[in-house]
Amino acid sequence: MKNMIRDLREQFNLTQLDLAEKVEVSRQTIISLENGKYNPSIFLAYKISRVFNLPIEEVFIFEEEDIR
Amino acid sequence: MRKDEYLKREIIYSAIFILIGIIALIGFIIGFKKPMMFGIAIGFIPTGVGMLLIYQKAKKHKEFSRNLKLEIEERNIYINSKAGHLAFWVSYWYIVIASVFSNIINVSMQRFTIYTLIFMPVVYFLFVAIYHRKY
Repeated sequence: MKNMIRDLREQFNLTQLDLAEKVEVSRQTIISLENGKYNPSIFLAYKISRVFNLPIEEVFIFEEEDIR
Repeated sequence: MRKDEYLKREIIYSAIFILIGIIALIGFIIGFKKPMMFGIAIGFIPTGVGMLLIYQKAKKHKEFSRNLKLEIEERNIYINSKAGHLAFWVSYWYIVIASVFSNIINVSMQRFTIYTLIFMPVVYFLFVAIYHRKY
């Protein structure tokens, strides 16, 4: 699953640590999310989307391959 | 899992560790399998007391509380669960292979259990390290 976290974070002038603290995870988790290594739970996805005031589907992009 | 639930669970585990240690200490005092009871008491009591102190402190201190939140964050839980699952099956096959070759390998039961006790956490922490790199 692709995501727009890095772009949005930069738009909002947030560091990885700032975002990590806002959504109560480690900076390593934000790094993994940005690199597409780790897919978040629906709760974390919701928290992240709320930081950027966007719906989940605009932050996390589902692809057909993710469903299969 | 919520932080309070996690803290409560860990404090219960610490109390169980201390209880096992105290039972072993009583066994040592009354002279039942003295070396083994001494070893269990030495291992369990300090571990239990240490865990209890850490988690009691985590209740009050902000910095400890923050570390605890990170400890139970979802990526860590995901990695630990995945590592635990794989470590279980590796240990299972290790025991299966050991039983199949038990006639060839001449190791006493006591030694085998010691090897297993070392093998299992090593495998678990190895997978934790691998998954931390992967995810």
